[in-house]
Amino acid sequence: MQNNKHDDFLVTRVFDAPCELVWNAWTTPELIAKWFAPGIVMDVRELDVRPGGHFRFADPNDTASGEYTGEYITVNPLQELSFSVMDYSEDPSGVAAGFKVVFEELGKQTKITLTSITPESEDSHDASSDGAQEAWNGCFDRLAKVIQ
Amino acid sequence: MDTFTALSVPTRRTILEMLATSGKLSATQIGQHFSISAPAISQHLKVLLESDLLTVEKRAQRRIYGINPKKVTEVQEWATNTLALWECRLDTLDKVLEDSSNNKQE
Repeated sequence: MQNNKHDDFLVTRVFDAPCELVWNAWTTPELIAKWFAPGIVMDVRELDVRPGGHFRFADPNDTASGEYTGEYITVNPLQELSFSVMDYSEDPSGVAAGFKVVFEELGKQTKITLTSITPESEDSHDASSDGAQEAWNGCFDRLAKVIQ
Repeated sequence: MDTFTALSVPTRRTILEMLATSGKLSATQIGQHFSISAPAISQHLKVLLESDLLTVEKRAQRRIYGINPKKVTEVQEWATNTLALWECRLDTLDKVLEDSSNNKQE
């Protein structure tokens, strides 16, 4: 019960493209602009891909909605990218969500695994220390089954 | 307390799963499933309560805990929506990669 690593991922996807190209699609302004907000080519105002660096995106046709912002946590070129994003849809003060993307080269293809992570180590000062950095969503499937 | 922080610790997720399976339990009954101290369990219950994932009612001298299905459903919806958004993004990324590969071959 303590280790849900097998099911704490959100999405895996295999692309018919070399790892370098997939990595570039996440880390190059001209490329990430084309896919991060499906249907829109985003205005990438900042994309500082290094730990602690920020990204800021905006919809050029929607000046009312403000920016979509986040901060990079881990940057291991061609291997791992993790970042937190701020979501203002539920709570005006913003809720941080964290994501980790792992890149794997499979011959001419590239597999990415997207995992939801806890963006800040707020639990480090908690009385419990049993894996504060664990992803949180491992229990959804089982919870979903039992609460219905 | 942020819901996702509350859910970030395996013991707390296990407590939620137990309550979802068994219905309502006292702190003592919950504690019997773990090899950690009663104060540690109580601390976990406090965090879960503050994040609104649990309900508590007093019966005689005991506090009986249960899950708050409304909040758990909200969390699930968040996960479902997030998943849908990422699926859509990655579909678009797939096309961008295809275009980039084609451009290189030309």
